[in-house]
Amino acid sequence: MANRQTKIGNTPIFEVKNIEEQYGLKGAFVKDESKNPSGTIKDRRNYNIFQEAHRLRVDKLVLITSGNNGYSLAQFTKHSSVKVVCIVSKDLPDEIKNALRQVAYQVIELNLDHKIMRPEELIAFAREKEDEVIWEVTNGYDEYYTPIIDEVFLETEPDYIIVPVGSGGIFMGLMQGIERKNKHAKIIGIGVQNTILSFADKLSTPWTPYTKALEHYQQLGNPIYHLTESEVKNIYNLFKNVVTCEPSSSVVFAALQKHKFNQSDTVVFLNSGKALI
Amino acid sequence: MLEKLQKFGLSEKEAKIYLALLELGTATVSDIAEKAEINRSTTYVLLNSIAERGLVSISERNGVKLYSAASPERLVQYLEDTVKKYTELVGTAHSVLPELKSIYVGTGPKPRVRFFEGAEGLKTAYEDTLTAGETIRAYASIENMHRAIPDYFPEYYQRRSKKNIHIRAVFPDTPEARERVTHNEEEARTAMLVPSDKYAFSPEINIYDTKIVFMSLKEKFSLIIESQELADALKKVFELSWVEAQRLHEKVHGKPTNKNR
Repeated sequence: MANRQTKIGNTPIFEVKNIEEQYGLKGAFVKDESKNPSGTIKDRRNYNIFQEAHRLRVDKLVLITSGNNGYSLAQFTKHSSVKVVCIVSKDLPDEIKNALRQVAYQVIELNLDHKIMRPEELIAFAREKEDEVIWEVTNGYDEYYTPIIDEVFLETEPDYIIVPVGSGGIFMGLMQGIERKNKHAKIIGIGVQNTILSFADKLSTPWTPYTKALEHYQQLGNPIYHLTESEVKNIYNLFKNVVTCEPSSSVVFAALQKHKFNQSDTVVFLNSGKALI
Repeated sequence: MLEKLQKFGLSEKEAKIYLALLELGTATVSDIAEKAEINRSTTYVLLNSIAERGLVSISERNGVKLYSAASPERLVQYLEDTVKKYTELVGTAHSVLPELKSIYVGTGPKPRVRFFEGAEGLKTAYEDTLTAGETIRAYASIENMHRAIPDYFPEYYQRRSKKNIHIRAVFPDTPEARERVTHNEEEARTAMLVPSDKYAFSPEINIYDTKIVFMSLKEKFSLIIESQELADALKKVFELSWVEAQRLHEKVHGKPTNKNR
């Protein structure tokens, strides 16, 4: 457990010369969150959720997950008394469901296509005993992404940081970091048009608690682009060999086609990673 | 003991009733009220409140309600239940936080004032202008700028220009200002020179986005105010003065260059 903890964050950032040359940028860097213990940026929040839940003797953590988030959280809790209940879509591939069952206390399959589940409903699904203390942790804890800003600015002074947008937690976390540290970079978000079942499956979400904040930040010049399915696939095929990523993380490179950068711009692409499943 | 029980969440009267009942074992409301020295109707209400917390049980014999104190260990259980309830509330607070944050952020920027001292403070303010998402409106005194932070210009102008951030500036008409405006095209600037005998000023004021930036170039400090309302108002004031500045400039120098920016 201690070993896992020490590896969280401080992920490498590396320059991608061929992107600089091909797209005429002053600098192009990848902040590689796939180097976190479970191979995903979600480790940053999940480790802190686990720490707090463990300290307060929470019995169970329940969340909706398409794989990475639940897997990462369950990895941290597996040697503790904190149990993780993963609520997954019935359509989730068996391979992912089976991998989750290896590490989570329980995997509950539901039809999540059109229903927006409230936290109290998820807690009710996870409850086995009347006196259990259960936390619903699908969203939130975005403040644990803000150290990424410090880590990036230690290496370079970007004009833009590109992040994938599902529910918007990563976007929010980094925006808060930019504001608190009074940095001048803009955040560009890349999401998907298909909110039910995208090829970039981690980004499909029918609802986000951050709607109002995301609209506000867009008005301040931090755009969010939503890709069609063919654009998602095209970008994945173009960039899957640049970093260890999955379709949900490779979308960030679509900014090269969607946004008009200047030749003097330095851009950091956040590779949110790919879990071990 | 009364004080300790109050720390566990019981009121003073509830604590008295609980202690009385511990001594009596099982008793009627009247007996408990007498022992606790609290009137009967209040005792009745508070007994039910304590019972809800599991510290008192209620039974009935011959149509008369009898109250019994639960064993003292029940108090520990009650507190553990309370801890669990609040722990669960911590989780609930975390789960509503994203929406609350979103509402807080989404209502727009809160007015904010930042103060920076010294030459570095002035640089901080100039660096902030490089985040402008629109043309900067400015009142500036070229010679004071260059004197305050001599190594900073003209490199700053080049960086601003590279970022495609244009500036519309009103300068007091001085030799330094006249020289500077010859670089207007490459430094992304439209400038109006106004008579320095009448309109000379030493600080710089920049207005852009939701910000007003004051740079005191003699006293060497800067002030960044973020307020949509104030920025909007000062932009209108600038437009008003720009019309007159343009008239005064053209009177002496003719049409300015880079005017359409």
